[in-house]
Amino acid sequence: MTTAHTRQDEESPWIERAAAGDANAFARLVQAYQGPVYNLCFRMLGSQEEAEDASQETFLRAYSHLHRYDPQRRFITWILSIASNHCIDRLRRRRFTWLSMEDTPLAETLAAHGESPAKSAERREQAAEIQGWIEQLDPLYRAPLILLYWHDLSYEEIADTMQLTVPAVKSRLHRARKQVAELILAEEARRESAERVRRSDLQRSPHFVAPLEA
Amino acid sequence: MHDCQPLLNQLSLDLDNQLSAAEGQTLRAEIERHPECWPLVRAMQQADRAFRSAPLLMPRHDLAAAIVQQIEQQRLRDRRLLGMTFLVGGTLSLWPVALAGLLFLLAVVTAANPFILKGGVELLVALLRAAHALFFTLGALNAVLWPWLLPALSATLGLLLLVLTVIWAARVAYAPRYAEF
Repeated sequence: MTTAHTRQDEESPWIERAAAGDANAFARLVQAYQGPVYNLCFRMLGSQEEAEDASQETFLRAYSHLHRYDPQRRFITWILSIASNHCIDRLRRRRFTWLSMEDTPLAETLAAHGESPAKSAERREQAAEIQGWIEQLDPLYRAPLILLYWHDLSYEEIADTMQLTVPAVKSRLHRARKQVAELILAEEARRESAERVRRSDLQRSPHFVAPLEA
Repeated sequence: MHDCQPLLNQLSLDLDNQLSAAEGQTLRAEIERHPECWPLVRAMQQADRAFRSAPLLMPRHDLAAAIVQQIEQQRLRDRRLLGMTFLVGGTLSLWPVALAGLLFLLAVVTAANPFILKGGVELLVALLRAAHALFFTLGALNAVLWPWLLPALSATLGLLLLVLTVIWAARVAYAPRYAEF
């Protein structure tokens, strides 16, 4: 928290200058916060193109409403609240036309750091799985989960970002986790069932050779 | 069948380190006693580990530049809009000033010599008569041919006058060297 406050203190002059119309100061804020904003938008929307578009829109909105920013608040919670509201609006407009994971170039977004192709494939698979879980969640449950896991925000900060009460944040986090757990169990059941069918098909096949008994 | 809901609720808090050591121990003991909840507990813990190990996604390297460029474009648009507002406002404000100046000049000139403008007044009367004849003809045409002729003509003339005034104001009165906002 001390680091966060130090960072906030360092950024206060930039925020003030940006609010006074200094484009260079705002460019510095964009540079500092593009990562968190993009990550939130990508996790919420599941598409690189949409996430970039939403990030741009978030910063444009932030720039035009900078005079309304309360310096008592952490800048990151303010900008993430704009981003999360914008993404929830987008998801509402999109309704149920979910993007499939094949359309999501997550692999391009995840930078590979000289790892083996097998490891890289495994990591991509896991990343796609995680994104798949998030995309199946209700949009209202996605944002607190992302803010908690990827932005290390406390319950109070999530509540501030999403204009909720702390008990509501706890409740949404709990429901989100429970939904994901149920998705995991459903996926495991589906895999087990597919494996059973595959085994029984193999046994019925004319080319199947039963293992020799000792 | 045991209701796993309260237990999962506590587990969610435990995953966020919101439980005290004693509460954590009670939770683990409770989980031990209810094997029917184990699959959900395990899946919840698995999801937690997966989320914690997932990296923060970074945007393409030129996203910040694209955002800054877009903001710059918006600033320019805002500035142009402000400039146009000032220009039109300024232009419109020129009319009463010019009219007042002309009336003042006429008052001064006619006060000195009431007959000096006789020729001018005769010309004005002739022009008014011509305009009256023109409008009478247009009115008749308007009644016979197309009911929107006169309003359309007046609007076109008014617009033309405004455009000409704006062009004049932009080129002369508010030349670019003076129009830096």
